[in-house]
Amino acid sequence: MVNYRRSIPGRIFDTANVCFLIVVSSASLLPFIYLLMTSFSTNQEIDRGALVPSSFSIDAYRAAFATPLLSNGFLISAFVTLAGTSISIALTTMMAYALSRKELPLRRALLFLVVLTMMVNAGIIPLYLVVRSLKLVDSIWSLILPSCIGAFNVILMRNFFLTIPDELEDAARLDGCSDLEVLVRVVVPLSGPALAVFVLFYGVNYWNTYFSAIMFINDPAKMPFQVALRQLLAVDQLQELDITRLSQLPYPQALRAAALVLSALPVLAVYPWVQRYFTTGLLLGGIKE
Amino acid sequence: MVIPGVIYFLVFHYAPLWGLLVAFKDFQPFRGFENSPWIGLAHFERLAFDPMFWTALANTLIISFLNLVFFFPLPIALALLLNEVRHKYFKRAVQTAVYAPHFMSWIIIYGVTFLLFSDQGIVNVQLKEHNLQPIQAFLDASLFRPTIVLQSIWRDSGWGAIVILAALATVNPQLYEAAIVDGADRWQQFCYVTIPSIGGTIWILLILRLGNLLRSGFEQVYIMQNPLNVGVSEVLDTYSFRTGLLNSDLGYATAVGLFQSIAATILVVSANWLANKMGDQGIW
Repeated sequence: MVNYRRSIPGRIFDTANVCFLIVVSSASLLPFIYLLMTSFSTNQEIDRGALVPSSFSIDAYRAAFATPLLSNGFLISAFVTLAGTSISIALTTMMAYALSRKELPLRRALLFLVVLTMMVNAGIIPLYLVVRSLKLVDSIWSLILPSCIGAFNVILMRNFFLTIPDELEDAARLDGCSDLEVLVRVVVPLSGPALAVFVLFYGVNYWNTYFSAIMFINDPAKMPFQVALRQLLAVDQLQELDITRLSQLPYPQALRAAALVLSALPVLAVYPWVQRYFTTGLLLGGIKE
Repeated sequence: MVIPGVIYFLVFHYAPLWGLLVAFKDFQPFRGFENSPWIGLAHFERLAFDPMFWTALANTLIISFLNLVFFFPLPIALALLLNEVRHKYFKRAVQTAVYAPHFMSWIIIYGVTFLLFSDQGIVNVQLKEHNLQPIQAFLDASLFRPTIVLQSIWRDSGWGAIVILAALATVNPQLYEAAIVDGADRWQQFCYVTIPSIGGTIWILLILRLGNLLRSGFEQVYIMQNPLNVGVSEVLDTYSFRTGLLNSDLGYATAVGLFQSIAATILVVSANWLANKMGDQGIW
């Protein structure tokens, strides 16, 4: 920013600001740290209310992987995330690109169609009826298809594509590329950061699926990880959940903490790399609607 | 290329609109759509006299209002403070820390709340050791609303700040230079350049939030509900879900959902009209 004169009140403010922001950042991260610590703790340490475990035991994680409820859910969620994100990115990119080209017939109408869905919502029951009539109830695809394209994402991506110069596209056309080829060979490579952000958004969304699952799925074998997690947290007696090796079972607290950490880990591992792309241009383009 | 996308929107966003007609029928799932008799506005009449509906409506509004008062200003404050930081890497580090909670599922947030405040949670264990009252976040209904608001604050203060930060980044530096030439100190620059520049953005965000007054975070509330706090925790979304999918009273549930959609749309449109009247652009 601009040069500030290094006045005394200015410096006091800066120091206070930095301290405050450190506090805020810590508050954002402390719950994770607490989860981590708890997941490594033993029963006695939890009873005592100690924050940092003196011995790092991974019993909780072993138990978590041995639990069919959790490991099954993990696989389901992994599938949903990978398949869903691929489908979503493919469809959203195609649609956003098509909508960004002036030659598209009915462009205005289609855009309006998309934007309108952001304002008008039929509600959850009608959606359930549609899914049911498509025979998708209790199918894994009911977790993917009903939400595979986000209208907001289409608009954002389209705004981004609008910033790509026409000359590049024309040059590709001159070289004989079809529409799809232009998209795949020219536009996509240029869109790395933008696509990374959307992969993150869609990916996290699929990984965190809970609502779709409780709406559309009744078969316990198809429950995604979040639903399994919820059951783990809500049930008092873990025996009911068919968890074996009861004698060596870590305290429910540790097991729950471990499961929660496993749920948060994939997201936290990927997110920092993509974070720096958030404000650069991508979202700015979306705000100036 | 746009066809698959169009099909998606037609199937999953516009086709359900037909489903809204269920609100006017006595819908029996086994008899199907066509064979269920029309009962006109009977569901809506029932709505008007249903105490649980009014409770749900009140809860929805109260939670939204609490969020408006306590949550809404925070991303703005955070963005403004963050903007004053000149050290690039510190700023980036804070941003990374503060955006992270947004990506956590509500289950995780519920889990953390649960682990912290359950009887073996570290907060209550420490409180008991010092002979203080334990905080029963789940058993005490009066703590439900504060917990919900605090969860929202933890999760989305940072994320909300992104929009404000983006707006702050578009402020013309020449305005600041002109202000300095006129002898403005840092505080004055803040008051006379920064604040007015983002005023429009804040106003739009406020409108959007007012328009969403009748909507609440279904997942967050549903997960935090238990038989003890239903009185304060049942919101329109969860009520519709409960009556529809758990009690199979699909017609009535659709009516609740329809009421919510229509009322919410009216709110957004009026909020936007109000903004136009007062001179700012509004959303469209």
